[in-house]
Amino acid sequence: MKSQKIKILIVDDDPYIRQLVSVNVETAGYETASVGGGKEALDIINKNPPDLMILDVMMPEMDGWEICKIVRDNPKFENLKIVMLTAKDAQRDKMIGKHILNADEYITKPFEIDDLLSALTKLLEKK
Amino acid sequence: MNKIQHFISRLFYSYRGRLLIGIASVGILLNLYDEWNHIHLTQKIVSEREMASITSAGKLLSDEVAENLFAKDTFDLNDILSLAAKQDQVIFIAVTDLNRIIRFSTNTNLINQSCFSEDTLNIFKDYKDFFVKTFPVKKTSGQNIGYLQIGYSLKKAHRELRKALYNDIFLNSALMVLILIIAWLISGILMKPLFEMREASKQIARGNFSVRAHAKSFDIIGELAEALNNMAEQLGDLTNNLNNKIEEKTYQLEQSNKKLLELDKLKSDFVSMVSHELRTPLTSIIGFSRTLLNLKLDDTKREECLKIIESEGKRLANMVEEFLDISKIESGNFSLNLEIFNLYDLIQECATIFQGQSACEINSEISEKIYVNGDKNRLKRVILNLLDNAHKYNPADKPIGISAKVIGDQIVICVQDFGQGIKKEDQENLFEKFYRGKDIISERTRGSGLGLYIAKSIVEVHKGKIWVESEFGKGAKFIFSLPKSA
Repeated sequence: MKSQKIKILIVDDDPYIRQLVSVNVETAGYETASVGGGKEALDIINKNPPDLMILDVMMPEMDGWEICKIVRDNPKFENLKIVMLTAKDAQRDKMIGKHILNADEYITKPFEIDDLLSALTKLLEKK
Repeated sequence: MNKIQHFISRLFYSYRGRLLIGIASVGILLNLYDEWNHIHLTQKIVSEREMASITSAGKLLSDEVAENLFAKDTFDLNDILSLAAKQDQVIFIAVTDLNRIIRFSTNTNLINQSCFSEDTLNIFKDYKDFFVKTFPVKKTSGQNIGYLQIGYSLKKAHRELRKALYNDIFLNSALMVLILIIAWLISGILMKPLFEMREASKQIARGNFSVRAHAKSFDIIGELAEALNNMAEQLGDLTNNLNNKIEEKTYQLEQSNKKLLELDKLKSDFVSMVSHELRTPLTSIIGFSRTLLNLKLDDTKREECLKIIESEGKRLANMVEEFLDISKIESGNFSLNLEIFNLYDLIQECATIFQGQSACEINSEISEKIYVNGDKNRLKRVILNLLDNAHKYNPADKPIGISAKVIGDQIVICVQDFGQGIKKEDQENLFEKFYRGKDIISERTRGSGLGLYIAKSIVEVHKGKIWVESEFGKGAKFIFSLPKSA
């Protein structure tokens, strides 16, 4: 029973990527919000926590690793799913993302939109 | 036994030992000579003395005997002779007549018959511990009436001789030992500087070049010490020099190592930056294409997506050009496509492109008739790069200035902004590969740090120069010159 739409926060410094993801995710039936940086992201998470966050890594000022760590360190947000969406595709980066920072999913750019959508479905259907 | 052998070999093989052996040998020879001499002399003296005493006693006695030999009363003769015989050192006395018939004697068996002849008178013979002298007995008239033979013991004399000899030997030996001790001590003192030099040498061998031996004497030892000192000094200087050089070289090596590591890091940062930069527009292009295919969008939305695809495509193309340029510059395959064109036209083109992308105004001051022989496309990128940079820092309300003039044999183009300017220490590094400003704006815009490096390479391949004039807080002027075409 989905009386409330699932909220997804999109964090990426590139406006085109933000647009791309939000258009597709909204069409899939989720509610989205987009921000361009870590500060704004943490603001929103604290005020109105989303169910899932799509997070870019390479951003100026605060990068995705930092944001992920802050969120994961806070037990209040242990149910907040994190999907990393980044151009960093090295094995080492994947290890860091998935196993050290405990992101729920790690998708590399360029990506298939369908892959992203099925990852969302998988992570959110447990609700 | 071994210790003794060891000691003896050490003695033979050392100069000091040899010195002492030499002294000892000479000493012993001298001693022997001295002893021989002494004995000889002493013997002579003793013999002469004894002989003299016997002769005088004998003469006296023979006179007395002569008186009493043919006297009626032989008891007087006996008494005289017995008395004489009792004397110390007299072994026997014998009196014979001319026919060698013994009239009186003590110890008859010791008489030497052979010396009674007149021919052998006054010859005295030594028989080990005694000698025998024969005296003719003569009457006052001179007539020879018999012989007197006295056997005289030399035991006392010999004892005396021996005692003197032993004394002598003892003294001489003591003296020898004393001399040897003194020689040992003196040679030790003489060798002292050598010991010092040995210790100094050991120290030098261990690497301590500051030791010095005393070099006071004006002989070979002093010279040796001085030579040693000189050597130590030279070695010290040499090692110092070497150490300094090593330090210098190590420092240089460390510095270049640092640089290499830095460059390496820059390169790998560059590679990850490039891969990120290339992937981002690609993501948009692929993503929006898929979106258009998947979703039913209205016309405005569709147009928007297509515009994004186009502009990201162009952005990607530009980036690829930049990276290819870098590649060419690095590998030395950077060749220009030369053509003669009007600079005014080119700058207008750039201004148009630029103003399509940003809201900033451009003030241009270019005369219309400047012709350039160069690679139009590449120079266009230089100008666009400078305009882009100016735009980053220029406040929105002020226009960016661009000008071109001919000064002497150079064409000089200048792009001016009114932003925060550039510090002197940063100005040196601006045109270096990967150099990115350390201010917020540079951080935000995430450029590759290659723009100015590429611009510099392009300008320099044209045989021109590029530089910056700026004061912190007062904006910046980026200026490049190109040689006037023939």
